[in-house]
Amino acid sequence: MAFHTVGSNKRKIDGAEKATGATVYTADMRFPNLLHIKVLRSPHAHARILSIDAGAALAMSGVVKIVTGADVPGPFGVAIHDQHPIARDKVRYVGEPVAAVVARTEREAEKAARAIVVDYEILPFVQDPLAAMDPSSPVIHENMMDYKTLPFVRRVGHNTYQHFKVRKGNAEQVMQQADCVVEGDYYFPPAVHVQMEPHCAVAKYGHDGSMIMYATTQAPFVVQTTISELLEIPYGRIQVIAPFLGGGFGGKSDITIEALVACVAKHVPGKFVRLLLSREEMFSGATHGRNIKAHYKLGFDRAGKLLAMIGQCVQASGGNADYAINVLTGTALSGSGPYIVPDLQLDVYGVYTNTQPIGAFRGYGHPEAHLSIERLMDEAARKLNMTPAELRMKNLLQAGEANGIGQVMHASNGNVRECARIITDKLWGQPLPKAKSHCLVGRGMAAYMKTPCMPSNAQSGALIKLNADGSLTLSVGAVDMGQGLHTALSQIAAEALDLPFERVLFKTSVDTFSSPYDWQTVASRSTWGSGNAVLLAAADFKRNLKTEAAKVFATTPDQVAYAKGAVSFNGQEIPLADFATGLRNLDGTAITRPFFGQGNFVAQGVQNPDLDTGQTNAAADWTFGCVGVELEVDTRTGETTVLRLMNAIDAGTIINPVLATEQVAGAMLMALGSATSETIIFDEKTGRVRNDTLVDYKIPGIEDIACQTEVFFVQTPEESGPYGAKGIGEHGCVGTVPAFLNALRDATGLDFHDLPASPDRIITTLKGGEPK
Amino acid sequence: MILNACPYEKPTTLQRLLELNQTPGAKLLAGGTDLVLVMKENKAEPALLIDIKNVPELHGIYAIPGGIFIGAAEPIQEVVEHPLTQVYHALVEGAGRIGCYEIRLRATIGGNICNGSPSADSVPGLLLYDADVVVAGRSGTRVSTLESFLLGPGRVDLQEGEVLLGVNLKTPNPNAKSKYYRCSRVKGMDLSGISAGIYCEGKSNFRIAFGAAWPTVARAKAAEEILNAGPYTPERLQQAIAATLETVHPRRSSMRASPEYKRAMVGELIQMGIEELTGGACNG
Repeated sequence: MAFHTVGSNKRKIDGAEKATGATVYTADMRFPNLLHIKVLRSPHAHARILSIDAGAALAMSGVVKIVTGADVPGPFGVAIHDQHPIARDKVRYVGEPVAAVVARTEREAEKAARAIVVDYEILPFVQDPLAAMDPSSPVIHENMMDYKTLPFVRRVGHNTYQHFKVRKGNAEQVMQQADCVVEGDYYFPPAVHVQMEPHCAVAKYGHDGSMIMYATTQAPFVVQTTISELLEIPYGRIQVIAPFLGGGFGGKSDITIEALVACVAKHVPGKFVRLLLSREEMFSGATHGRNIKAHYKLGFDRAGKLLAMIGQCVQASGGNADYAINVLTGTALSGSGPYIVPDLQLDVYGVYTNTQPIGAFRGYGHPEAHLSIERLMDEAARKLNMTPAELRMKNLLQAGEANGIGQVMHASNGNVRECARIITDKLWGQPLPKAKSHCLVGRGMAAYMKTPCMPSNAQSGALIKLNADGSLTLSVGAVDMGQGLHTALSQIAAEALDLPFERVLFKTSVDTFSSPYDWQTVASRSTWGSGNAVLLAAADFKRNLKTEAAKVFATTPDQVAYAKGAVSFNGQEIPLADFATGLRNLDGTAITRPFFGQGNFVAQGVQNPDLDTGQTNAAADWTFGCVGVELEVDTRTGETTVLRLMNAIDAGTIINPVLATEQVAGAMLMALGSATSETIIFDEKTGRVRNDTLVDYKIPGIEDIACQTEVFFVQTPEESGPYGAKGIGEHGCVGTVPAFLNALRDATGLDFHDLPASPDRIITTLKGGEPK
Repeated sequence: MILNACPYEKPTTLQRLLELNQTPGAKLLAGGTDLVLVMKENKAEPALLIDIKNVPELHGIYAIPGGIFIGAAEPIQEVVEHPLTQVYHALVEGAGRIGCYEIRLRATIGGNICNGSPSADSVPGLLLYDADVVVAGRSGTRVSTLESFLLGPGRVDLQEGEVLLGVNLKTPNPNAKSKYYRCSRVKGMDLSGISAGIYCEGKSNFRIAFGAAWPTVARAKAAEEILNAGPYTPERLQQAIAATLETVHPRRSSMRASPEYKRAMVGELIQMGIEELTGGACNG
């Protein structure tokens, strides 16, 4: 299919403003008589709040109000109502809000927060996921079994709030007959998103009972819904505006600081209040990602056919788990990897721990499962005397085969074997580079699959408005957080309406009052979901246009032709622009009425996950790919240099190759951060995050980027996607960590089962045996 | 967040600076790349902040008899780029590893010394060349060795009211070469986990300095003695490493490098440096 705009490298519509620093983010906005919130956070990982004395603080200069857990409603949540906007009775991690001070300036608020006296009864705490499962560990939510939950939550008790089972055949029995069995423990430690823009929310509760909020959110409609339920403000009276977002990566999905800000705003009606997190608070008072310990066992026959897989994944979900519980679904759905697994037994557990709550993080539970599986595939290949590519090729999914949750793959789901072939050719097709003195070189691969993990009714909407200059303004409910979504959607609209790209304009901020509804901008689903809505809106727009044009031409709509921004009939042509202000008869009477194009999309046939077997049509689509890593390790310093980093991905039709490449490459670099340098260091005595600044939470710098990064697109059109497209935002994260560790194993023989494989750990392991 | 405003002065003469510096609780502000962070963490609340950047005596990189002078308020990037500093290789390399370009324009050499960090990147290079510090006080100016100036983590030998004017560096021997090595968690902007400056003149007169190995940046004197006691041999190198390791006992709580890694790197960095500077003399 030939396209004129889809598939071309259109410039990012927000690029010039962002590159010049002119873009206005939430924290840049100015509000009249703005009040500032500072949060007093718990210094204890687990403690009972005995009393809070805010008397002295309240009397301090500039202080307007002090709000504690007793002053706000709760608990609230979506899947499991287990969190309070401000802690009540108990704190469950260091950094949990205990009180919020509203003052005229941030400094006055901060000073007053320090003057609040809180009396705690300190309780023993637990941070490790397996330890928290142990019945002897402290109970973090005593009333867990009484919490309001959605039907898919299956509480076990003690600290285990979720158990998701995937069952296919009889894995235990088949495992005993396997010729080759590999197994191991793997740990994907917590990671922090490090968005350039910290969380910020500004809210005003009106004297008329309305609420307006500007927020750094990927999920304005979730914020609207949750605030409505929490504060019992009618849904329609809440306006949430998401201006430009300076990075999300899942950390701004669902609802984060917005609940606290809304509650505080209600205490100072008529005033705008703002909370802007510091970088340190982005570590202590915002969600983390990952934090899953897994044990996997894979059984193969002599020929390398994967017979059975048994896996157990346990996530340390933090002090509350309303977000984490959905991440676990991602782990369960992808927990068999991109392979044909005839007999599968997978148990995914979520346990409360005294750590920061786990939320969405680019990859959404998939990288955690893939870490185990892709490391073990390499181990099995060694045992079976095969190359990593040979063993994978024997087992990768293809059309007609069922995945772990029993969905039979169609050709349109993508071609993972082709992805693996590309990586095999590119990675091993050229001679291994000669190692520099004192260096070792190695290569590794990992295959992967990813689904947009979302509710079965996740909707997207789009609205097209015609302007008097013949341009169109497109608005959707999905947020552009830098991923380029609005550019891609503009391309889809331009394609569908046969217009130059430049004639499609975009309403870049999302406003729940006027933007079409969208579940939230997560799960790599928006090019696909909102893209489909744009296509439907374009079709609606053309239909309405032809109806109006038919009146002018005195014919029927089906007789009207549309092409390149003009309608025509019988040799007469009218440009689109004329319809914006309306066409008239000679006597001045109006002929045409104004119109929008509107489109709303929801995936068909997606079911709730089945918690007993996992065997359901729970995934709307799948995306497959394969990662290759070639690296060099300096055996004197432990420093690794990624020489070649590559990803072959079948994400359907690519709307904008440059933006898509950047998404995949950026995600891979983010994952390399986890692989080599990023980890949260909890203080053993207090449980606080010790490395809560970028001085000691080390994300990769420009010097750490791979010497060469390549992304290959296998463009099997996705039949449910706009022009065959699907999402691409997270996929680069899924297989990169195991591919890196496989390459490290190939180079050095070191077998890392956890992260990060830092220079320090590489050297101490080389000198001292197994990784520790 | 800096909670309380504090008085601020920006003197333009050394005399005024020294007067102001008599104020109890006063702190000197140069680039602020360390002090402002400490103030934001509320670990310092100066009674007076004295900005020293407009005092002429603290500026300039220029030749003096037998060497050069580097003013304490000179930005790090100036030290990296100035023609007169280029012969002090380890200094230029080490200073060039500090922060990023923007930080190096702001941070000063005097600040890097007086902050007293055991891992200060500019200091090993200075120690290799036996730098002296020039210190001004109410009673006059004194010159002492940089080595004696470094007292411990966060502590330097500045008496009440004293100000570091700059450092004196001797003109190096024409065949002197030096290198700076740093181990960090990422290749991008980071603090040093352990670092070393290695110096030699041909295959003799070895000098070694380590950052983040001891409570201050310091010379590995025992190793130097062994290496310089006779002709260079692999055995001598191993003895030098062993002698150094006897004194290296890093604390476990560091988030930047484990004690095991630091100790492993002590040997590697000495060996790497000597091999590179002497043209692969040692395969031991």
